[in-house]
Amino acid sequence: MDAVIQTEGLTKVYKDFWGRPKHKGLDRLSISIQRGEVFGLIGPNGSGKTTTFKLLLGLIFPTEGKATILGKPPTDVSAKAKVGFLPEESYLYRWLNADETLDFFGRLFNLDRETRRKRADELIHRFGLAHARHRQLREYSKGMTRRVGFCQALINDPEVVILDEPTSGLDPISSRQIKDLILELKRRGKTVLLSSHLLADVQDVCDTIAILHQGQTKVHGPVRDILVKRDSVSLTFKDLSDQTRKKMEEIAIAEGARLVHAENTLETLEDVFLRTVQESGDGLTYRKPPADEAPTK
Amino acid sequence: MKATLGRLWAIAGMTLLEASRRKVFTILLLFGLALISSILFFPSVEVDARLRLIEVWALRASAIFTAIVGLFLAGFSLPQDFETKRIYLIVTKPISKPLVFLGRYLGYALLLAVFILTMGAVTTVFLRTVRLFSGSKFPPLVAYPRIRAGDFSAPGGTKLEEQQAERAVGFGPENALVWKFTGLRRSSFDDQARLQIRLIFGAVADPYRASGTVDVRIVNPSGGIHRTQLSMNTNEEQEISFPAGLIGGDGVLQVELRAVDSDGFIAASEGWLILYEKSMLFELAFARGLALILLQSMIVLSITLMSSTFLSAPLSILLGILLYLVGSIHGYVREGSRDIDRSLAEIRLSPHAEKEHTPEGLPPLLLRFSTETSKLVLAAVPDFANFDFSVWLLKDHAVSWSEIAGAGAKAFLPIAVMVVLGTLLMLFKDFDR
Repeated sequence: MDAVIQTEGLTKVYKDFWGRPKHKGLDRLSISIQRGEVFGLIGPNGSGKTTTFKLLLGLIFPTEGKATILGKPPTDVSAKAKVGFLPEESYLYRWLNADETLDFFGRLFNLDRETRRKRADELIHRFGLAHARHRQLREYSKGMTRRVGFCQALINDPEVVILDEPTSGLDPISSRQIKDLILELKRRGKTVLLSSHLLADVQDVCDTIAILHQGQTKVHGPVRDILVKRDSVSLTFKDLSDQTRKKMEEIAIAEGARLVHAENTLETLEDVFLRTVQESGDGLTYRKPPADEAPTK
Repeated sequence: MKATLGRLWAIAGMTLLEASRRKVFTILLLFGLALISSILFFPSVEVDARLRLIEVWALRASAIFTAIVGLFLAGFSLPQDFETKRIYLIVTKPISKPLVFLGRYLGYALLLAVFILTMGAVTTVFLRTVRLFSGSKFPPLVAYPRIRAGDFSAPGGTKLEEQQAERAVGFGPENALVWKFTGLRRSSFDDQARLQIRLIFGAVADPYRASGTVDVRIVNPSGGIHRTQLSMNTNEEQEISFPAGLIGGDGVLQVELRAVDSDGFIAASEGWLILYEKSMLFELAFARGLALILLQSMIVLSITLMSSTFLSAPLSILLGILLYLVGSIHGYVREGSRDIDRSLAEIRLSPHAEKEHTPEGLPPLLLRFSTETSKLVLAAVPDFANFDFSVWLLKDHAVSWSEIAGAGAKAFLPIAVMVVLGTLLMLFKDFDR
């Protein structure tokens, strides 16, 4: 297998002013993320998600263990050239506009002027910022700033994308767009590592997850394996009459199965919201990816 | 290498852009207003002294405004990047942490250069305008380049050790202080060339002798000579003129000074006799002088930015101000420290050394500790008098390239130490907040 991100016994102990251990931010994290995988880190506040990201990005140094990105240490400049990072909050220069911001970050990646301009243009249009591209970021709403944050994370067309709370502060349409984007990145062979408090989002897009608590890995594995209940089955039918349903229940019970729960399938609130907004025709639109673009997950 | 320079330039360019968006350049308007406000003082100053008023006013304002801009921008930039976590977005890009520091430093140094140049341009335009409306009494805007002798000797004299002057000669036709100039060009002088002389006068039998008469001979290799006598005081700077025609095609000129008083002697150092060329373009000379202010600002900038990698913004700014103050009073502290050393040496030689107190009544140990600490601080902090352009400007002297290089050499070490320290601190910085 082709491990893009790998950690072995990665540990971070935060120390006080005198160098005495204050608390363990991360405790022996060992994970391996493969190329094209979408990996989710979940856990309550203070569980070590952001510490993991900081270690992987070379923002802090590990107390023990090691981490590699694309086979290189996180501080390696050539590895960083292939990484895109979206922090939990978009820490951008408020005095610059979207174009200047993307141009600046593009220059840090040493992209030539033409590539910078082209990529910035694509991303600005993709994230619906064209109308505000010349306004300084201090005039942007939180959601718009977040979208600029996404643009800067993708300006270098990265192989590895690290997203800290990617859907935080976004409305349901933007949130859905981000989830679609993550799946599109996966389809293009990119590796995505993300953290989120919105468990449904993680479930929607991740192949593999790790649940952290107090710095320790409590659960780690493919989403499907973790969530599947081996002793329980749910079947979804369309146009099933009450009479047939009753018959099926009787057969199952006669075969020794125990009926726990039966009700009509519920739509997700997200689906209802998106449809409602779509139908209202007020300009807010969400385009579901066409079938041939549908995620492989 | 090219990629690294590109990233460095990206950080520096962004620093400049951010400063301009924060309307830092409005300070230039304030500078303009400050300069124009000097007109208010014109009625109380003679027309021929107004030039000096404007010059001092402009230089002080330039130095203060530049220092404020440098201190505050450098003091706040990195701590704000850390505080707002903007640094996360930068150091996660293919750029090393030290490069972020260097980029910031370069950006602010460029900003200060733009500031100083603009202030200089505003000042010279203002001076020309005032001169235009002030009539003929207003002094000309001049700046004279100076030439120092290539060789200094004292036939029949003695070499002095640890004295203010380097060489001394007594009365006698064969005894003279001789400065030899080479490589002079006739075209660099007006019809009358000027010479500035400074001497120390003394007499073996009279320890209080502090004045005298000196015979001045300016000769060229073809036998041409200009002779005059000067009566002057010790350490007084006096000027004489002589026909520039004495400077021949070979460009060699010798100046000989002889004591006229039969019981006296004269003493001098190599740099105490200066030859003035004709005035160069004032604006160009002014621009050269501004380079000195820029060097001084870059020293303050370097310590402020370096300390901001591990201290809060207010503390970094305070440290920068402290450096500025110590650098500005360097000369006074050095003199004071010398006096204390002298007192301590006298006490050591006293037969009751262990019971002696200094004239201030302080125990010698405390004074020794104080003077040693002062020396340490002085060794670490450059003397800002080296960058005080007003010393040149108020005497109508042009700053020479060698003087700029000398000041650059003096600024280089503190700047280099601070920049290296800053890059190392950044390299090992843990962004764990």
